[in-house]
Amino acid sequence: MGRERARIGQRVKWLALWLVSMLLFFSGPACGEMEPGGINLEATAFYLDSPESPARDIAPPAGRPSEPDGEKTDEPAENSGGPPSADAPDRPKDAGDVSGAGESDDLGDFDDFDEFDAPEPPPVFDPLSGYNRMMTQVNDRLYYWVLKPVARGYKVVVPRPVRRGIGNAFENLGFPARFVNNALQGKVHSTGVETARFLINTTLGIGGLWDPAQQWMEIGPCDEDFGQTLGRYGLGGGFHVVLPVFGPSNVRDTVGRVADGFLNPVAYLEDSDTALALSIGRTVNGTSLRIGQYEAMTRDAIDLYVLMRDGYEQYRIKEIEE
Amino acid sequence: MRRFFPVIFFGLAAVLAPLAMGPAAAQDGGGQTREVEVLLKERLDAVLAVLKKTDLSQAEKQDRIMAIIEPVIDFPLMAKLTLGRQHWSKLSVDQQAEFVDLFVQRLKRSYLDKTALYSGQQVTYEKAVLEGNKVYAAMNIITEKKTIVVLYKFYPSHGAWKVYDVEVEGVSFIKSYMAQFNAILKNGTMEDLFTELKKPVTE
Repeated sequence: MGRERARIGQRVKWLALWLVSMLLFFSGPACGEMEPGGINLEATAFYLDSPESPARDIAPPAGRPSEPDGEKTDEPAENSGGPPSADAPDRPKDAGDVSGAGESDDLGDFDDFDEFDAPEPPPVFDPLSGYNRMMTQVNDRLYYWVLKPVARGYKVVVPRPVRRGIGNAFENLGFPARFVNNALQGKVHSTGVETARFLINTTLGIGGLWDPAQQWMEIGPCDEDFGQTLGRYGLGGGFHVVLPVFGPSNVRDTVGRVADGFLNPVAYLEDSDTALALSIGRTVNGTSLRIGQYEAMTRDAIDLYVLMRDGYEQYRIKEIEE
Repeated sequence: MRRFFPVIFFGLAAVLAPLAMGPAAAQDGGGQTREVEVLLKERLDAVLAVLKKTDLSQAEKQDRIMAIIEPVIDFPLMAKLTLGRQHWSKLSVDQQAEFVDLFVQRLKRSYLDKTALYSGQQVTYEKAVLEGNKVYAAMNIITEKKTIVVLYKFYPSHGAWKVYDVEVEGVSFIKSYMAQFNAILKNGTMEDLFTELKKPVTE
């Protein structure tokens, strides 16, 4: 009799938890949605204003040559100095007609677009560059020679809905890490959204194989990791490190990855072979859903390592800002 | 009951959070940003329409897309900005022309490569934002798991708005190439860079 009552009590508790979380995500836009106020735009405009961005403060930036000081050679005087007025579409200088004559000394363009005038050469502190370059090549070969063929074969055998389901289930397991990091960053709403997503997808979505939170209720995931949390509190990225298999990272994000690893349920499996198999499965499954992306991002690389390094750091700055 | 406290707390906070955010910052002017919004939407909708076509070959699609976007993207200016003030000023006029020529080819390919990633996802447009005399306008590509933000930065050029940089998820075309150029030119010469640019793009 007592056991029966306890069981009913348990059910009531779960139901109440569910109801509250429902209330929670109908109360505001989910973070997968557009945020009001154009937060993304602010994030991308971030480094225009402050050259000392948190992820790049490894070396103090040299003086920004943003003002036309001794730079201008023999350009017309009317173009020097003076902030460009907001409503002057007919600027005297334009690089649009490069094929034409007289574009050789129009350095005025560089004054008008001084957002790219990073301290030159950029203060990239890269003590591991030798190793990093080597590992970038290794990862690249690993992708083309091993991961991609395997993922392609897997893609042929396993239909897309199943692969998506598996991907969803793995993502669902990332809930503890996302929950903790959202909470640590003081993102109360996102923490609630993640909790709601986990509860809905684990139950209605049967262990996370489906994503009803996203599909029916339009509650997207709020992805946060410990590297972002540290960055949020002002910790710079440190120097760049290319991890085997995982690819570009830096000191901060590598530490973050290890910390998040402790929140990954797969790491607590007693059988380490199973854990390894699951990790490989996750990588292959994920790759099968993303074939083509790495190629499109890197095909035009002139220096693959620098492209990946710089792209990664730019991307992380934006992620941390959000 | 104590166990529910955090949940109730989250719930309350979630209700209050949107209120605290307040209205979005007021845009000044409005005419310019509106102009850019309309321009970008018109062009990109046309590009997406081409990408969605199934009866065209890849090459035909790319030709059509270029025809749509080329008038609004200032590729030569992008090339120049990417090389940067210091390197640009060291080049002769002929070298500058050659560099622009080589790099514009590359930029176009690079842009087209990225359009190939689009596979019919839903797209939304953000309100454009005035930044000095530039206007930033963003497009969101809504994928299953996340929203990819593509930001187009416009500047006023001879009475028209033109794109001078594109950022995909915060990664700027210009900055990415600039970093690579700087890496090559740190130890190498301009000739090395030209050699690299002339190399065919490999798979």
